[in-house]
Amino acid sequence: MRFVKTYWLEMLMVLPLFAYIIGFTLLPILSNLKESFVDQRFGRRYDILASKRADITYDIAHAPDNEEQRAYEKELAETTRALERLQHSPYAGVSLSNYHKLFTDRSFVKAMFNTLAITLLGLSLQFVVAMSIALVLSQPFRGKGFFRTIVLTPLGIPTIVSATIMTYIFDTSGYLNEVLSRLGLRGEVPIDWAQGGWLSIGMVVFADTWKVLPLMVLLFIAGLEAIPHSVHEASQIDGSPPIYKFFTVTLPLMKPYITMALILRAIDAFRIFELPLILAGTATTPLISTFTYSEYARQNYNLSAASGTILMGIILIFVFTYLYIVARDRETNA
Amino acid sequence: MHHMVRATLGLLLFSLAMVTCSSGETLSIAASLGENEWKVMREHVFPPFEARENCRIRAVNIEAGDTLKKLEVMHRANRMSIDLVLLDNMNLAPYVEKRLLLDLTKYQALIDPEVDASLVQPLTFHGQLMFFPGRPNVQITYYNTDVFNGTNQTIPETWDALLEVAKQLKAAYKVGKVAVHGTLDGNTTAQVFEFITAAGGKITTFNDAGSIKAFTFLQQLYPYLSPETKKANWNTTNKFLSEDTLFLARNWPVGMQVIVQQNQKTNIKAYATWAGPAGRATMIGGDVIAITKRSSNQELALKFAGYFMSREMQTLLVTELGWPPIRSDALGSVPEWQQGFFKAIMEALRYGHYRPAIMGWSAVEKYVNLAFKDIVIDGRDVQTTLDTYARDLQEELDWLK
Amino acid sequence: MPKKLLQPLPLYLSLAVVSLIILYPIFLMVKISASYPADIMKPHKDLLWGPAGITLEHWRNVFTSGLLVPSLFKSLLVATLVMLLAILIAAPAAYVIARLGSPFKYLCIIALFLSRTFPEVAIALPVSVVFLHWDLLDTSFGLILAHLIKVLPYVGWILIGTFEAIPLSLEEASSVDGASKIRTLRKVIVPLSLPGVAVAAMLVWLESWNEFTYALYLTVSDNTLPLQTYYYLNRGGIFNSAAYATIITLPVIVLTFILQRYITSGMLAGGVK
Repeated sequence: MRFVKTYWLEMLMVLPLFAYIIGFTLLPILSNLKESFVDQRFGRRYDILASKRADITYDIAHAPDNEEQRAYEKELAETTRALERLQHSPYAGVSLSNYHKLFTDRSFVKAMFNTLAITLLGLSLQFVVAMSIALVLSQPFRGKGFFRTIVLTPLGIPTIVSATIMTYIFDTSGYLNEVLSRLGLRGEVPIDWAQGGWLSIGMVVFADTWKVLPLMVLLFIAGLEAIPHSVHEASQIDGSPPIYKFFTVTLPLMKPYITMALILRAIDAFRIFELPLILAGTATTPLISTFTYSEYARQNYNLSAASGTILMGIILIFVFTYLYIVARDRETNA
Repeated sequence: MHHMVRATLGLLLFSLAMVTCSSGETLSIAASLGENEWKVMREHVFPPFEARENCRIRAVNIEAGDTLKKLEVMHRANRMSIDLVLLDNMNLAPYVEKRLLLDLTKYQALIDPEVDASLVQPLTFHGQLMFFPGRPNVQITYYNTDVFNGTNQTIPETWDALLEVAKQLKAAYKVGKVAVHGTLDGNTTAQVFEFITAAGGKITTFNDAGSIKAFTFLQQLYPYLSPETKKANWNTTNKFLSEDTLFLARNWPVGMQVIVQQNQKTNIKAYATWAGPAGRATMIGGDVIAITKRSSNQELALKFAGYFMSREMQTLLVTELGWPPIRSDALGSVPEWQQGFFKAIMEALRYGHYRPAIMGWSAVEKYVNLAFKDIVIDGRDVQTTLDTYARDLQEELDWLK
Repeated sequence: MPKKLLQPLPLYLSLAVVSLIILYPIFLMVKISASYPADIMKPHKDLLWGPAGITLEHWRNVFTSGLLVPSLFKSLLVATLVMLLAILIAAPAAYVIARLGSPFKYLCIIALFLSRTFPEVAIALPVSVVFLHWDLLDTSFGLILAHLIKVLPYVGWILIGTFEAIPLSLEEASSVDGASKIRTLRKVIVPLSLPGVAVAAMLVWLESWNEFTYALYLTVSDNTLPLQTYYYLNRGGIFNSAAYATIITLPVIVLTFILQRYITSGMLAGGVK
């Protein structure tokens, strides 16, 4: 009780956030998790029968006359029997069949590889470019405000729009091929950027980086600004080269911001979806997220749930590993 | 003062109530239409009905791919705010499966005898009529008249000619200029269906002689197709045709709005289709009318359905939009710039076949796309792949019966 | 850092290249919205401008369609309210979490994140059903609640980082001076966290402004701007959607131009002294 008394303010402050999160995200995720362990064949049938039962029950309650009501009740009895039969079929109960199906699917394995490649490549590229730009922007120079605005503009463009503009750039008759052709950097045959493999991965990474760069730059700028001037002044006195100072002073001080930026980005990068779909198509460049989506569109909810869970698992492994490294690092340095 | 305020408020509410009550019911209609199509609906189709029935029509645009999800959400929350839907008929089974729609068997009489009976037959699921015909639709083959001008190239009328054309164009331009819808979704299934049927096969059997011929042909054709095939769907194909990335491709009539009207390409025309070993075959798509089960305006919706299928309305749709009619007595002349296309559409409809109205269509779609990827794109053996998938498909279809 | 690292010529050259890469796609978008179709629909694209010049036809269509103002208004309303609510809900919680001990903190952070690790399509459907049950279909309020779902973990994460960066010593100093918890918050924490909060607020506003999936489920008649853009995009109406896209981007550019100087006003420096 004393805990509540001392910390009543804190608890009040935390409550709205967590109530919202638990209610609207944790619960749907848990239900999806549950769905993933249901055999797809069972799940599909069960879905049909269960919603039929719910529907008929509604109809019975709203039936206009007794005759219709009796008809509905008969249907209800039939449906309930079918449901019972289903429960006793070999497909009922907890099942790993969805996961088995996914991990033995050639296309899904390729999707996992593509997802990892795009994310890791993307993160590295985005980190390097964003950090460089943030460093430049933390110095005073003429036109800084102007340049800062330029860097931030892609943030305002909705994903579907940026994806479409990118298709105009990366189409075989697109602007990039045109630039390359005029610069003499390609032959007569236009480059098919969507052919799969590393070319398509690179295309998706570039398009994604373009869109998310402003965010990372912002976070890094905030981090650089958070370094007190006294630290800068102190480090300037001892006269060592700036690159050295960057790695030994600036970078460590920015660790919380870097961690924040990388994890935030990683979570979205793993889930990237509209961009690869529109730019490359699932034929050559499947990703876990596009896989999840197409199975969902085919009403294979259980398979889709399993696919989504695998993605979530990958993300969690990545995040935990990273946080572990950071925490351990902090201990050794403290 | 207090009493004055209360009195005024009361008067206001009362008059508000009078106004809303006297204006009749509101019928909510959802459809997936382009801007020019909505214009015709709002200016010519809705007003006479609104006047006649003393009601208001609230029209909402829901894209074809999103309709199922939206209706399902509304149905499950028991907040159905759509009464009548003009549905794309690509995959009607889920709507029936999720019990979103009103059983129309009792209202069969609303369909006049002049309506083409073959249009109605695939609208029956489990012996119940679930949809009314709205408008039939079919893909036509668009071609670039600068290239296919009779001297350089002539439009291919057979599969062999198609293969020849693809080869020659690729040799001349170093990159393929013909495409099929290779996006591995419903678009692909529709076109594969046409190839299989044109070879005498049945898509649900999957490994019969016709299907094998069709997949073998596609496998031969693929290397000469444009690389944009994997991005070509009903929407992007129009862009590719407009910018000369493609010179020949099949697509829906909506393309003529985008290619000719919006993009102002007068050098793109269309013809019906080419012939396979078993003749010409096209897939009949289009829109059907459905009424939601939990609608609160079912009577009004039924009246509108009858109105939409009437001779006056169908004739109007022909003359204003160039839509093929569902009935034989809806004769009218199409706007001039559309006449060539309309002729192609009507001819293509003559070779039209319906997809089987089965509950497991999404399973068929899945295996068709898997087969397309494995056989056509990756070049695996036709017979063995089709046999495997035919078996898997049969298993799934049996389970879903 | 010494200034001699940034020689003017290589600096401006590399800035120019980066700016070009960043701006070209946006330039394309604006260009398409004002081009004659013949100039865009051809195999060899013009890099700068087409021979036929500029046309305002598409913009005219967009402005006269009667669909622009309602969707603009709705997007504006929703984005602003989402921003305010998100900060109100997330900031206090983020402060508390930032001050928590090690295992707890990471647990909270992971819990916050779980929602964002799952594909949106799987979550959006059940959530939308619940919302509809509460009669929130087609209301701005429902959309605001839905956007909060998306945005809260995000902004919580950023704010936790912000509050973490404020040294504990400052708080301790303040309570040594005799200030109560609430006073410390007001006088010390809030001013120091302002840059981070401003960044978070702007990002939330943008995310809501651009949001699309929940809008798709929860809207029937009044589209938001991204939905309207999607409508045209889906049907090959590249010219109209380019115009809409430009409209969506314009306030963002204006906003960032105004706000960008506030991000670096060095508010934190005062706290150190």
